[in-house]
Amino acid sequence: MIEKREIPEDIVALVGPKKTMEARNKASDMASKLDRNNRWSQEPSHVFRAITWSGKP
Amino acid sequence: MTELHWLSASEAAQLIKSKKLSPVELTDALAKRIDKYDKYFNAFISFRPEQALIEAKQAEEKVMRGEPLGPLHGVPFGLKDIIDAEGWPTTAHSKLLRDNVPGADAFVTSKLKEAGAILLGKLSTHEFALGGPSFDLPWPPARNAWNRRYFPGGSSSGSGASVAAGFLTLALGSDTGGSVRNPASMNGLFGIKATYGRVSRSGVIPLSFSLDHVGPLTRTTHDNALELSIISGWDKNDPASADIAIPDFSQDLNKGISGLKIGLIRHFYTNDMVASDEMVTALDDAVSILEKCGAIVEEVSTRPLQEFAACNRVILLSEACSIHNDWLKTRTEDYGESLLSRLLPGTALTAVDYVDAIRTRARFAQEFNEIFQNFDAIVTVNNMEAAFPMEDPVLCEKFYPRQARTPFNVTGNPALAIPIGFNEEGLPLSMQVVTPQFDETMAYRVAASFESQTEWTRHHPNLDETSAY
Repeated sequence: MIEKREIPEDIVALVGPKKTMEARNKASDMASKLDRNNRWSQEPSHVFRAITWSGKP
Repeated sequence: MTELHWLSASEAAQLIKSKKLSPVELTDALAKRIDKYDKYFNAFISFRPEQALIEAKQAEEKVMRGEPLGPLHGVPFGLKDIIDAEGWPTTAHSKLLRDNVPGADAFVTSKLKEAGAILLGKLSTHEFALGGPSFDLPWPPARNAWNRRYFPGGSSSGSGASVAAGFLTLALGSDTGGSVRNPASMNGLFGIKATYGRVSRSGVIPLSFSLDHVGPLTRTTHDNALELSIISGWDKNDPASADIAIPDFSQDLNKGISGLKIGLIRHFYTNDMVASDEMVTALDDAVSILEKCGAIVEEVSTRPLQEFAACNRVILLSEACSIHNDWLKTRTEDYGESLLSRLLPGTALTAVDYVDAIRTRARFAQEFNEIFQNFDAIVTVNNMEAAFPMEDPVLCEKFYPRQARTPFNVTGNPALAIPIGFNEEGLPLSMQVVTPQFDETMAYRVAASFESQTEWTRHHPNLDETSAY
């Protein structure tokens, strides 16, 4: 069972308790449905490939 | 001749090239139609007919001088209002960017202009391509061209409504969780999210860097292939841009699909979610047509929709909150209610959630690559039902997530929305054709074969009727 996700306090102060409750429930729900069965070691990722950061002629 | 506003872009370009149609005549006809009807459909945020007519006159002079012409010479187009055009406001349909006027064209805008197309207007969107339909923003939300009381899809709402209404022959939208394919679905259009990296996003306001795509909405397969050919290409200003050859996406439109192996993901709409009966029937009929065209259709299974949706939402909201973090704290009251509600869960996600989702995404993409070892294309549902009444927020929240588009933002595969008929209320129904990475040509081949066997794309809304609902 995944733990509840919490909205940061400064955001809570701005948007109030009703929106906060809805948002934390939605965040907890999507986090709980994520398949985290990742068992790889060094993983490729588009974010960190060196080519992403290389300039092209 | 077909009424000017129902000409396809390629038909119009051909008539202009052969001097049978003046760009001024075409632009004027569309501008008058927009002027008459858009007050009922709200597709446009910015509309500059005078400027477009000046450019149309210049285009006409170029034709008369016998100069070389681009493939869309003299054809008007529209841009979702998150895509920059020099000197035009890019508002993202938001109070936050009301006065934002970029000094340069987005990559895709410049490509369309180079092809000779004329910008006629900037189009309504959900706020920052996420929050909507909204009634608390500086501009009203776009409405469905087939019945103005109904949702036109989103977030590229104005792009869908304007092309279906005959205001434009082509428009650009963006797609992060399905926002080209949703308005294509609800307005009876073709709309593609090409392979991630195929089309540059530089000059486009980001929603989620690793999921955003730009794509065309059109009334025909041929126009869609043509427009994608024009806007594709490597761009040094988009780090995700792919340096890969651009084929002629229309090269196989007349090749037929005999012998192709097409996978059908049925569990998306019969098990993971349950689509309306009319949608399931329309999909069954569409599959029969593909089989009559000679394709071999077999059911294929993948993960449940909910797993793709969770992966998409965690990545999308984490990246979106990174973009909006400062404004969320300093200009909270300037956000529309819908966007604020959709963004807020992102502030509660953890760094581990985000990284896990990215790792999961790589596995999902690999799983689809393996499926495509055995299939040329996949078909599945687009929305679970036709458009719904847009002024009921409960219905919007209920039906908005009922779709099967997010898997292909997650995996990056091309996904093309295709009209497959209408329901009893006269609202369009749609399916998706999905193909291997960078094989958009195959998606268009399947779509063209299907289109040639159906008459759906010859139906148009009668705006005198649909604006009166």
